[in-house]
Parts: sequence; C-alpha cells; structure tokens
Amino acid sequence: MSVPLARRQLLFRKSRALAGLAGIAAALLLVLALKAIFAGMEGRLTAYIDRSGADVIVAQRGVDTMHMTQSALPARTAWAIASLPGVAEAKPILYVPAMVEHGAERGVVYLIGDDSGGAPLPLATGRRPGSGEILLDRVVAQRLGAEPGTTVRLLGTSFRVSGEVSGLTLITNSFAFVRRQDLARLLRSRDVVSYILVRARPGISAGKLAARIDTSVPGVTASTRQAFARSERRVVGDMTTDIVRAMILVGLVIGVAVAGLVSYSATLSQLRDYAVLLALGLRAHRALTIAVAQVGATVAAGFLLALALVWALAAILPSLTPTLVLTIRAADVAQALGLAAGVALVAAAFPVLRVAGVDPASVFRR
Amino acid sequence: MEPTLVRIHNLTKTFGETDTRVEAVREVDLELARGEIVLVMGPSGSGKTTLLSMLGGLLRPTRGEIWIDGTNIAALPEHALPPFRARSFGFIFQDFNLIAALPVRENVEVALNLAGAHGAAARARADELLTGLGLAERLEFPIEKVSGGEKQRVAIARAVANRPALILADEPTANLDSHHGAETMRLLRRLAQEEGATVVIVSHDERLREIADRVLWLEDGRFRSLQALVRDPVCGMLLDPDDAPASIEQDGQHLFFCASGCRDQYLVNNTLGGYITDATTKGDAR
Amino acid sequence: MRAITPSSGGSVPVARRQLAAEPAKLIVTLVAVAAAVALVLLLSGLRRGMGEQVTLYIDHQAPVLVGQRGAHDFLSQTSVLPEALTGEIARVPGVAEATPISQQYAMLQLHGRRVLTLLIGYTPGKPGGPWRLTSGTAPRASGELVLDRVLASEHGLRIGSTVEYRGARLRVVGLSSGTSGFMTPLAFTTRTTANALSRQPGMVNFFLVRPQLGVPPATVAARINRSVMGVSALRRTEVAANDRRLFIDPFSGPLLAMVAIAFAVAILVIGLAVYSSTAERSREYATLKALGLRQRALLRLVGAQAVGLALTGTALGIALAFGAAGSISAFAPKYLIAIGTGSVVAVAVSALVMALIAALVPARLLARLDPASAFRR
Repeated sequence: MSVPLARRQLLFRKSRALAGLAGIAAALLLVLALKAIFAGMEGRLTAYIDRSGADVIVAQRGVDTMHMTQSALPARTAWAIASLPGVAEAKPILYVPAMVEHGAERGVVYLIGDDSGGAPLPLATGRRPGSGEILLDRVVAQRLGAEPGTTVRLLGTSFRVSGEVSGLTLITNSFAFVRRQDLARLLRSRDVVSYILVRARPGISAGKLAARIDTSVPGVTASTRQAFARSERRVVGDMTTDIVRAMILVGLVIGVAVAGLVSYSATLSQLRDYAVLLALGLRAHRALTIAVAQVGATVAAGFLLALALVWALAAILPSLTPTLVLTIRAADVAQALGLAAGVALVAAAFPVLRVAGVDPASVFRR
Repeated sequence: MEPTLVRIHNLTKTFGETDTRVEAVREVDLELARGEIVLVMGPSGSGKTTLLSMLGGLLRPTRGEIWIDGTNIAALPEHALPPFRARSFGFIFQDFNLIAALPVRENVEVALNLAGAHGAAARARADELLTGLGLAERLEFPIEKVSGGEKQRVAIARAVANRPALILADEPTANLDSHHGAETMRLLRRLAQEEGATVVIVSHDERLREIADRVLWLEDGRFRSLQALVRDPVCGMLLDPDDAPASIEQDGQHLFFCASGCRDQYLVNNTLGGYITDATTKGDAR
Repeated sequence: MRAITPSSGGSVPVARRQLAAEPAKLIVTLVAVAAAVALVLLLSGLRRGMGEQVTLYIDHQAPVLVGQRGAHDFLSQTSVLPEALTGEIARVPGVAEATPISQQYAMLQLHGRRVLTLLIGYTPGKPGGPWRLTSGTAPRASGELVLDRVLASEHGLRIGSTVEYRGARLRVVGLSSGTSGFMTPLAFTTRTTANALSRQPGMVNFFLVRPQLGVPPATVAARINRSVMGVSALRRTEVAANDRRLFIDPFSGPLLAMVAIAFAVAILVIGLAVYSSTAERSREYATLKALGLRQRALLRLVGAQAVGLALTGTALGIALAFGAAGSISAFAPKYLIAIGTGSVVAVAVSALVMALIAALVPARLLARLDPASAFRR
C-alpha cells in the first residue's frame, strides 16, 4: 500500500494520539522510574566496598552485610588473619552510623574508623584525618557547610574536618572517616572491631582466601567482595519487592485504561472508514492489521517516550538532588517492554473485535 | 467483447425469519449492456439499496445468480470478493464516503492500491484523474477543507480509478446543489461513453432521467416497467394506473391522480369538459 | 429563548445521559481515575505508615529518653553510654526510674533471605520489653528471643524455633503483637545477650526515664542535661518526631514524583474522556447551539461531565484505597497504610482542580463550534 492508512488514521486526531501517548508513557514511567531509583540505591550501597581495595571482607559469624547491620570481632582477629598465607593486608575497621552536627545543620553518616584515614579512596580536597580529625564525603560537607578546617560534632565530641572524599553518597546517607582509636574510645570498645578488610597476595583467588579464613579463624564469616556486595544489594531488593510489584500492577491498570480508552474512541470514529475501505476491496485481515498497528504504534511510542524521560531524569536529577541516583538496568527496561506489550494486547482487543464485525454493506445505509 | 456485462437471474433477498420475514428483492431478472446507463427509481424501502448492495458484491443474495462479465459473483467464495470489487466495481455514495484522514490525492490512490497498483504509478494515475476533474490545486488538501461539489468529484475519480466495468451510484446528486448535480450527471455520462463503463444509478432525482438510457422502477422488490406508469398532471407523481387513488376521463383520455385533491385541483384549473367517472378514492395508506 | 441548563430542576440531565450512553468507556475512565487516586492515597498512606511504624518502640516507652551527648533520635545514629550512669541518672530530682536498654538493627538471616529487625535488649522484669505477648514468655535467660508475631508467621517461626544471629543460636520463647513493621519489626532479648553479641558487656545505648508523678518530662530532661555529663536527655515525643523525619525525608522526593505522575494521569484520562465525547458529539452540540443553548450553558455541560467523572472517580478511588489498605493490613500486616483525613480532603479538592483543568481543552473546542454545522453533511 503506498497510502499509509494506519499512520494517517492514527494521526488524524492529533490530540487524541498525543493523549494516548502521554498516558501510556506516564504509566510506564511510574514503573521505570521506581525501578531505576531502587537500582540506583543498590548500586550506591556498595560504593565504599567496591573501592575499598579489599578482596575479602571478614565479619562476625553469620554477617555478610554492612548497612543496618552490626558486627563485632575481637581486635586480635586481625592479627590472626594477617598471619595466614596469602594475606597481603588485614585492615580492621569500626563501622557505625553517626549524626554529624555543624552549627544548626545535621546529617547522618556511616562512620568508618580505620588506621589509614580512608585510604585507598582518593581525596577530593584536603588531607587524611589525624587524631581528632574527620574526613567527610563532599556532599555531606556541602550540606552542612563544613569545609576542611571547620569543626563538627559527633558522638558528643568535636572533630576537625581535614578533607573531603567524593562519590560515597546514598539516597539516605553518606560516609565519613576518622581514626580507629578515636572511634574505639568514643564507643568504649577498645578491643572490638566491626569488619576486617583483607587484601590478597597475588596468586590466590579471593574465593580461596575467603574459604581459608573461614576454616582457620573461629567465629568469623569471610565473604569475597563480590559476594558481600551482592548480599548488600539484595537487602534493598528484598525490602522493596512488594512495593515494586504493587507499582507494576498500578502501571498496568493505568496503561490499559488509557490505551483502551484511546483505541476505543479511535475505533468508533473510524468504523465508517473501515466499511468504505472494505467495500472498495480491502481484505478483512488487512483491516484488522490497520487497527492493531495503530494500538501497537501508540504503545511503542509511549514506551520510547517513557524511556527517554527516565533517561533524562537520570541525567538531570543528580545535579538537583545528589542523594538521588537513578540507574537504568537492561533487565528493568525489558520488563517495562513486557508490560507495554501486555497493555497493547489488551487494548487491541476492542478494535479487533469491533472491526472484525464491520459489514461492508453498511456503506449504503444512511 | 460481449455486449452484455451484467446478467441477473432470479435474484432474491430475504431478511428475517417467519414473523419478521421481509422479501426485499423478489426474483428479479435483469440484463445490462456495456456502456449503458440505467436509472433505478422507486419508493423508499422498495429494495433499491439491497439490489445495489448485491450487485456490488457487498451482500449475499438468498437465491439467484449475478453474472458480471462471465463471473457469477453470488457463487464466489468470501475471500475472492474484495479483490473482485476493487478491480471490477466503482462506487459513488450519497455521503461521498471519503476517508477524512487521507488528503484528496490519497483518497483516489488508496483505491488503486487495493486493486494492486502501488507507488509512483498509482500516484500518477490519481493525479491525472483529479487534474482532469479540475482538482489540480487540491491534491494535498484534507477532505475537511474541500467543498461538497469537489468532494463528489474526488469520489468519482476514486470510482473510476481502476477502470471498472461497472459503476454503482447511490443518490449521487442528493447532497449537491443544481449546478454540481448537473456537473455530476455530465461526468457520469462521459464515463459511460468514453470508458464504456456500465453505470447503475439508484436515485429519486428526476433530472437523472435525462442521461439514463433506461429507467427502471423497483417497487416491493420487483421491477415494474416504467412505460406502464402514468404521471399525475397536477403534482407530477408517477402512478400505476391500475392502482391510482383518483382518476377522470376527459376527451377519451384517462387521467390519473395521486389523490382526490389533485383531481379537484385539475378540474378547477381546467373548468369545462369531461364527466367524472366514479372514482373511488383509495384511502388506504401506501 | 430560554437557555437549557443542566442544573435547573426538571430539565433533561444531558451531561448524565451523555456519559451513560457509552457504559464501557465510562467504566474504563472511572477505573483509571480511581486507580490514579488510590495510588496517590496509598503512597502517602505508606509514607505515613512507615513513619508511625518507625517510632513504634519508643511510642510505648517512658516519656524521657537519655542518650549519648548529641543524640537526638533513636534509630539513625549510635549512642553509647556506660551502665554506671544508671544510678547517677536515677538520683536526679524528679526521676522515678531510669532503665538501661540496648538497641541495634539486626539483620536476621532466615532461609536465605535477609530480614531486618530492630533488636531491643532489656533487663527482664524491668520496663523496655514487649508490651503484649500473644504466646510464650518474655526472655529471661541468655539466648532467649521474643519475635514479632507477624514476622514469625511470615517466616514459619514458632516458639522453640532457633534463629542464627551473629554466630549465636537464639531460641524463640515468645511472640509479641503490636510490634510489626515493614522496615523494622521488633525483636526482644535480654540486655546481657545483646551486649554479648556486640562484645560490649556493660554497654547501654539509651536510658528510659520515668518522671515522678506530677513532674513534667521537659523539666526532668532539662535537669538531667544539667546534672549528668556526656548525655543528651530529650522528651520521647521529640525523639519520635526526629526519627520520623530522618526516616521519611529521603523517600519524599521519589514519592512526590510518583504522586505528581499519578495526578497527571488522572487529569489526562478525564480530559481524554470528556474531549473525545465532545468531539464525537460535535454535531449534537451544534444542534443544541442552533436550538438556542448559550455558550456558557454549553461550557457548563462539558464542565459538568468533567466534574462528574472526577468526583465519581475520586470517590471510587478513595473507597478503593481504603479497601486496598484494609486488605493489605489483613494479608501483609507488616505494611501499615495510614490514610489520614487530611490526605482524603486534599485529594477531594484536587479532584475538582483536576476536573477544571481536564475540561479546558474540550471547552475550547466547543467555543469554536459553529451552530450552522448542524445542517452540514
């Protein structure tokens, strides 16, 4: 057909086509945006772990997560681990959530007490903290107005800000670094550490080393960095599954309603045209193709628009709210595509049934 | 090429069952020659539209045969009808029935597509037809922006695009003023002569009698010979003399009227002469 | 000629007739609007419910909380104090009782899934423990655990089940009710158990302080702040408010975005429905205009349709939201959907705004409608 019938019919009433497009895009955007937010959360969750330089993370027995988790090991465990073959470094850290105050501003941070002042994470500005000093994530520092040189309060004590790191801010919280001895004193836990970050010597895999530590050192759980990170991410996943499912259901309902409404009114207004074309010699199955193509095109365009919008959001939002990061995953896009296909299928039912019942003889009826 | 294009034999169409049974077309026989213009007239509900629908392959007859150029379309399988229609028929409708979503040119082009012509060739033929009908300036216009007379010309261009052997027109002049109505009639005449197309027109419009080679009267599903019908001299209505509600005999001539009112009017207008026969006014509603 | 108005008594209810003429379309429109409205209410209800659940524990405790200096909330940060402070706090005038408790987020590993709970360590017999047990007993010996009933049933745990946590085997001795939460269901154990797991014997996270009869909590808190070094004493209500804010605020942004989208969808759907029926009936409207219906009356007609759809859809959406919230609390009690009257009122008002915006486009269409088109073919 050199005349693009489906396209002409679809675009004849521009506002209706636009409304359908917008509605479907909105429904799919709901799902895509939510999944991107949670994916972003999961991704950022392991920012510290990923860049810590550790191959194996050792925690109290039964523990393989960091956020919203408590872990306590005797300090001497670090030496026991360090003496194992294949271990290049065993770095003990203390890890607690803490409220940092600067003047009237307040912010929660995940506070790490280690002996290296935050190494190997690169500094954005300033220097690593000495005793009585603290290294803040840049976003928190900005929010509190606490640049290097200023004093902040946490755990009832004052600390001087020595410098800033960047890239460690979640949707909720951020990281900060102090000397382990400072933190141990404040927590009244001189001989206790939270985690031990282990770096492997060349030649031994992380998995093997983790297994070796597990068997050799009592009362610990050693995880490879990958397994630990995966565990962390699943925390978010497990907690948000139900919400995501509910949102998908809502997106489906709204998408079907909008697509159904649009295809319903479009079909009704085109019934006479179909009768005329059938009388002129259009085959019945081609008439159905034209009807279905209109629904399919609208849903497909709505999907692409939703994708473009969520992509734009992912690009723009971080500059507006640094704590909110959107990550668009291929699996999530595929799922949204499946959702769109479902919407199209249901919305096409009415036009198909109606057009199939068009009687070409009706062209002569008045 | 055989001179007879259409041969209808024993064509019947019945709607409904038992109580609601309606015989719209009853055992109609008809032959149409190539290039012939036939006007079918008759009261509303007489079956004209049903006949036209069956002729155009849009409605299956209950009984009978419809031979178009050697093919009995009443016996064609369902899937073969659409391409047959596209190649062999052209339709002209009272409401024009143009596709609002398509511009003028594409309304004609789509008919060509349906018969198998695509792309530049189809577009060229559409442009040629439309230009020939004076619509060269309107090719890209949306249908909404085109006048009633122009719409009918587009419809006619669409109807003849595939050089059909049979053109079926349903009240082609009903929605046109007298100027455009006359123009449409001339076009139909030209098509029959130049293209050798047979034109069947269903209409109430008396003016079309001027271009028709034959006028048929369809009433109650059957054809009546128009020659047997007479005209009421006062109101001009066509009547069956056997069924006329009122009549007079004047100077050896029988005159028939649609009602006693018309008869009385005639008498008033023509004072003297004639004696009134015993005219029974048929009061039954028809 | 008197204009036909849809509101005057005895006239034909044109708007209603037109809406009812296409039942399938009407139903679909109402469903879409109801879904969008319900979504808005459920999301805001979830937010509020989360806030209420977050402060579940301290809402049941003494009116004054004492934490490490600088601690202003219960959940978000660390507060560590020595046990020895118990006596010092108890001696502050106005204090009837000072009870130490420990508190930690406990990531329980239950058949491969990680379940977050808030584990409270308290002294058996003293305040701070579960306030309602549906079965079993409160923890008395080391290693004993009381779990929230909903959490237990969700994971098939019963009295006698063991839970592995931080290398120790804890035995479930009781199930509590009123302690459910989607982010932080509660669990209780003895303070000695909790401290042993943290390898910090003698550690206290917070003190629960009960003022003497007739002494206002604010006074007691102020006195403690003045007399005891290294602590921050706060009214429980203040702490609860801080907890709520810290927990909820980060989710506000995305939540607000979802709500905005839901509203946009509702407006779109109503506008679409009214516009398409207006466009499809432009002939009828032209006829009405030719019959003498004035422009304003015509606009009122379209407005009536839009308002009718918006209000009905909103009413259905509110009913749907409450129904859904009820079902959710029956089938998944860990989610608390607290739909407040404020939200309902806000939504109802927004429905009117929705309707007016949605009626704008079809109204413009009608304004341009030429009554002579009624005669045109």
